[in-house]
Amino acid sequence: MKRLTQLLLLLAFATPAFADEPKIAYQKFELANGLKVYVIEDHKQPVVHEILWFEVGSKDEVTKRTGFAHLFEHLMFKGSTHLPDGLMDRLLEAAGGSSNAFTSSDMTVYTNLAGSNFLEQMLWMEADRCVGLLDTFDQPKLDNQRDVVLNERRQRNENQPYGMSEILIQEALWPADHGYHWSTIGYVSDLKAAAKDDVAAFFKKYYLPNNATMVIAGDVKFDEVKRLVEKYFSFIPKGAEPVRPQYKTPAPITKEIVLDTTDDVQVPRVYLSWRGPAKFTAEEPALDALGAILGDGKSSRLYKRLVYDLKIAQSVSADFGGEQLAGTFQIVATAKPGVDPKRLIKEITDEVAKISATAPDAKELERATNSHEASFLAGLEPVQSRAILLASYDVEAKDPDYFGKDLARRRAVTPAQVKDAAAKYLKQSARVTLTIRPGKKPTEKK
Amino acid sequence: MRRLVFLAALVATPAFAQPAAKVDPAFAKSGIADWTKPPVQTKEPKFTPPTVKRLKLKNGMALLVATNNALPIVSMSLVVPAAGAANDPAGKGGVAAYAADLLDEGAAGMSALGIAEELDRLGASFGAGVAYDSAEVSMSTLSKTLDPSLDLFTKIVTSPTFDDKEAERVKGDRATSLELRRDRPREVAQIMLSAALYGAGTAYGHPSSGTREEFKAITVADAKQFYAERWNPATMTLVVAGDVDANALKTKLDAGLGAWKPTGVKAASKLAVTPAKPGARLLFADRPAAQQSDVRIGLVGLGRKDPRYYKFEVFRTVLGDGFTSRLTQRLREQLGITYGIGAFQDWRVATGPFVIGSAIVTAETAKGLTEVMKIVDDLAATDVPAAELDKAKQNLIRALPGMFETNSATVDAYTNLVLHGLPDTWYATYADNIRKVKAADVKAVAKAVVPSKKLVVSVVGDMSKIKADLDKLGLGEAAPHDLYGTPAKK
Repeated sequence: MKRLTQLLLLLAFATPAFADEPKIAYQKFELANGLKVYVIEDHKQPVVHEILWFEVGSKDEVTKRTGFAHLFEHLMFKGSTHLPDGLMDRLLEAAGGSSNAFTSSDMTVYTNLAGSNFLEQMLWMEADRCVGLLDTFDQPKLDNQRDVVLNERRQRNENQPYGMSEILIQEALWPADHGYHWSTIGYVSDLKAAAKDDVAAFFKKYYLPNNATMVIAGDVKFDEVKRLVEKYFSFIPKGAEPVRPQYKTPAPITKEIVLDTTDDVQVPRVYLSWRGPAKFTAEEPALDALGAILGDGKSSRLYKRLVYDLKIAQSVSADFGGEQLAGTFQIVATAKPGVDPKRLIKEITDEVAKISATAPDAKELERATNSHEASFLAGLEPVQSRAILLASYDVEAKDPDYFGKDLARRRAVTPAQVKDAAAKYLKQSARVTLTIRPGKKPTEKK
Repeated sequence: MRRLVFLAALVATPAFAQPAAKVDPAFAKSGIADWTKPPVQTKEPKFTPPTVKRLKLKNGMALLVATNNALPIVSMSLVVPAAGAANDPAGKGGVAAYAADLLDEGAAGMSALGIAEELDRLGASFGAGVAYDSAEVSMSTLSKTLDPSLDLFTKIVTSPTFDDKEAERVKGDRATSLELRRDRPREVAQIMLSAALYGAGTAYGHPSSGTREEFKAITVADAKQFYAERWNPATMTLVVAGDVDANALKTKLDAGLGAWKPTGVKAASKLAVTPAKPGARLLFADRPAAQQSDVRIGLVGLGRKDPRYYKFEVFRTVLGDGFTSRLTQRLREQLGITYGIGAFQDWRVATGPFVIGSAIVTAETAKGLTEVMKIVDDLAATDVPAAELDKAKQNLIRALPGMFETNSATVDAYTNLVLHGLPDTWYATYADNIRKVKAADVKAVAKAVVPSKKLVVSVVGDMSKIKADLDKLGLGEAAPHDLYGTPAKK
């Protein structure tokens, strides 16, 4: 993210059970150059949101240039042909707005917000950087944002208690020749190696209208949006379909991978991680429900066992996160002082074995489904999150009308499916088990 | 039409000068004759904040309702004035927070886990906690389960069990969290600063969750007594936004929350908040091998009802709110020594702290602090240029819709007014009041409220690498602290 620390898109998927089902109402058009545009008219507030989703993320990076997709995201805010560095933000903020962006393994998404009368300026600015980013790009801008990104990494990772965990887990969970092996923030040495030429090549390869999806949402009229998007974007030439790194489905993990490390912390923490299926595949809803039953909140099984009954953990959580190539199921528990982390691992392993053998009862599943549904509905409330959800359905589910289907498939989850998902995916032999104990701060090997 | 004038001025300002007006070949095909000028904006849309309906329940509790039928969901927050951390009994820091935490750990015959399960079944999310001036209990739920959700909310708020066993467990969790505080350097930097500004152990000078030492001695009886004395329904306000009818809600609540008349409530003693006597201006805690220094720079700021409120908000925006603020532009976009920096005023019932916060790369810590001081000084010495002033004002005015985008945001917006005793119509005049602010006002308020010579600097970082540079900042003798924010013994 440009400003605050979050690289992964975390959408709360769940399922409301309403007779009158909420849906995402939109209209769509596509330019000859391949840019897909969705318009959500929502006149509750006099504002306009723009989402521009590029299908490029850290999985598309090449050797020795990890972290580049995200570093590039930062450069998109440093000016273009007709917008000197900083002018875009000054114009936006003067219109009551703001800009931001986030990068994940799969995608880079830019967001703009301003008063609704700013629509044309917003599109003018967006087109300017999409066409003319390289005109004003120079080495000092790269050096400056590299420094900012290194500070982002310090804040998220090196200087954050337990902050190296995600990097270590991804390295263990995915083989070196897979695009999820490295973290989106990238390795320090690779960030330092990134050069001016890399920026030009990356821009020309991926920042194309035919590799992007736009959503304009808010107090706007479809016809006016169409006229203005055509005015500012239709002249941009279509590019060659990007040829990206292709990854084979990795060979399964058949022997538990055990990692033990230290950090400058007071108590141990354990991370149990497994590979799972990709986003929008059939088993995703069952795995989401499994996460909720095991470790979401005070009514979950692991909270009850580790925190409430045994009082050996300070906190515990479990969740599934699906991405485009595959997903990750993760359980995290922080020990109470003096508790051996092995004890936590044993208790979690027992609880996982239990749900892998016996289906949860219907009431337990209902609780998981209902609380999921509520957060799903709440996610529709902010216009920006609704717009991002629509873009995700378009790009990732290949179906902009997926909302209703998403609800339906989550409602259809059965207790047996939850058990089967646990048995299939949460095998101890397929697990990456990371323990971080109090000790020295970790140093990066790469 | 002010907007158009402003934009023309913005583009013509030398600082924003454009390249030569030659048509760039990449843009020639657009058919747009002059791409260099921002398109003209259409007429600025009007925004009217949502109106609220104010009602009163039978026991005197106020009810504020903002109806919004866009989605079948409802959010609410119960404001409990004078039940926050500032009301912690002397020597018992953390009691207010502990009491709020215990509410949903068993109530009206339901167990802690039973409540958690019922909330999930209803699709409701629940939270209870404290700020300095109040406790707050909030819930978001589905309109189809609103009635049973309100019943559960009422049980939790009016009939908490304070069961010994549950309380002991929660106390253990909270005590552990205090032990782990040394792993949260940002929190530690803030604790050191607050103690320096208000005096350790005072209403605003102690951490709201307490300290390790004090919290050990606190018992469930303390929490129970605090709740009995401080949670007074007659002074509370329930703020609700979403898919709900105000009158029907009142009828429903009058049979629950509105019928709640506890005995044992005591009038709150007057909040005693005074700035501490000036002491050390440089406070530090050593965190060996830290790659960044967590810094908090602050002073006792402005009261919420001070007439300079609007001037101060403009000043704060120019200084450190938003991406184009001076602090972000200098320390991040020019120097690249931080990922983020911002300036905040914690608006409290008495005068709350004004704080600039950042994490600065270790080697540049002292330089970053020097830059912050320079930027603050400059605002007190020089008028903000017209375009920059207008940008900040417009940003504040036009960001107003965002404060009401979601039900929970609307609840927060009105909760805020309730807490400070401001009228329900306060937002309607906000834009006009911001528009009146002039460059001279910003300079004056910067000089009077945030003189750099009064700023206290709190740093958690690797002292082996930065201490020598910090000592040269001219802040006087540095006061050492441990990693819990406690002053080191001499």
